[in-house]
Amino acid sequence: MTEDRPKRGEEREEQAVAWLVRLNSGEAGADDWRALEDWLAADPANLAAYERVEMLWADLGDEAEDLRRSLDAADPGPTVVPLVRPQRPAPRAPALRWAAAAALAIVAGGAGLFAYVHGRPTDYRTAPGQIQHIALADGSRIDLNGASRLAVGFDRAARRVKMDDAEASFDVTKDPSRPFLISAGAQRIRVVGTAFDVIHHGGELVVTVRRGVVEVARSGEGGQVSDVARVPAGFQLVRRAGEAGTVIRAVDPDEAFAWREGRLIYHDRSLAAVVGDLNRAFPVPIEVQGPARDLRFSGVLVLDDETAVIRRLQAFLPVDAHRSQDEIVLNSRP
Amino acid sequence: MGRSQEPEASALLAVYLERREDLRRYFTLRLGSAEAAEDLVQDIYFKVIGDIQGEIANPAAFLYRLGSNLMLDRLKQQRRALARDRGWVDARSTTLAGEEVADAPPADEALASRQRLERMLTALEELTPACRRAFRLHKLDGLSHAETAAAMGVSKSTIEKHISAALKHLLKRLDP
Repeated sequence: MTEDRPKRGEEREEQAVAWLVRLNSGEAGADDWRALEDWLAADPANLAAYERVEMLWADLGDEAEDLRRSLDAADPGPTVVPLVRPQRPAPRAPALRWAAAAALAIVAGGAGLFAYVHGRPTDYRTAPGQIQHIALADGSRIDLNGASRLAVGFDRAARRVKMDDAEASFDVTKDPSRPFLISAGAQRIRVVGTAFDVIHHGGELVVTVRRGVVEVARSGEGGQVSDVARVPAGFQLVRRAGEAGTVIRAVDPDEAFAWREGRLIYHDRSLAAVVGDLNRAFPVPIEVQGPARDLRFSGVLVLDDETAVIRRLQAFLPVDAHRSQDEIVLNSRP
Repeated sequence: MGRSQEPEASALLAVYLERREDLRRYFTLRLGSAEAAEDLVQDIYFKVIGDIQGEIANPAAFLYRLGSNLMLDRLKQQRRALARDRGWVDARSTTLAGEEVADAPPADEALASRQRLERMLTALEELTPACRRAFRLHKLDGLSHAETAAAMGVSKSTIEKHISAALKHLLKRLDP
């Protein structure tokens, strides 16, 4: 029995490797996956052996770029690898994703807000009331709210987004070898794969996390990073430019994402903040003056029509609205 | 070359709906939890209705791979969170509004991953040149076995042998 064991373990490992190699060959079909399932179900030790092989395979994929670079340095032989491969949906093929990102950058071109080492960033701008859905080459998605501007650029080391005055929600695909970095003024946001909403407006940064963990840091003049905060799912971070403090509080993330469904949800928010959001949704700018800025609002606003929304606000808050052709001014009712 | 299909979300969605039970069964086995498998199969759905581009030669196999990658991402995330909570948060974090907020990046994590990379490289350098080259083209550059075979001017079964040998050697060195 005991003598058998090492041999059996080795055989099992050999089988697990054979399964994994077959399933990643590019020619496996659904039948192969069902056959694997039968083999895994036959013995828990099979499952354990396969898990081990599979995790190593995935780890190697995560390190693909570094491994390739080091191998090239050690062994600079002739290479026949095409620079841009034909598109093939291999969910874990960093080489392919980089190629796709590079292709995107080349096609998109355009005047960028900032320059990258590899590829040029692509600029996105929306008018008030317009929501743009952006699908990135790595599978990540950005929903850009109205009256917003940001730029996206990918290089080998990182996926980068620069936010001007903007609100956007991000659903970022996992890629530990290439973090997703967002700069908003002096703040930096870093994720490896998660879903979150960011508002960067008038020097204020609000980050609401729906899934995963997001890191937010301040970056100084020399590029040094300080005040790193980790924001977990279900929490919201608020920072203001020129103020040292950080507020992190528990929230319902669905409220921060509601704008994508044409609604805004508030619990005890200042009218100034509400109006900031409304200015992303509607073409006629709204201004709130004086003490009315600090009035508190709780409730749901359906973003159907600007005039109707103002009327509903007036039903809840003691404010007067003065409409002119090109703006709406809100003041406390005397 | 093989059959190709329009990268139409609806075509992939049809295959997904047809294979949903198969996927659920497979991932229940893999995750040891029907509930976790249901979540995962739901995540596959969100990917399917999202933007998947390019031709998919075998949509059913593609869905299994997609699910496997999502599963591995989750496992790795848990693994990292554990490592991080152990080595990082305890020592260098402050509490803010009841939430733990870290003051410094996880240096230990970076160090550990650098060491692992070194070990991978050492193991790869121990392979025969042909074996290393096959591994590189297939695993690091993302070529299929057939494409790797064409690039190296050898048969697909030779590639299969090279990849298996490379993987066995890496297992021995990295995860003995």
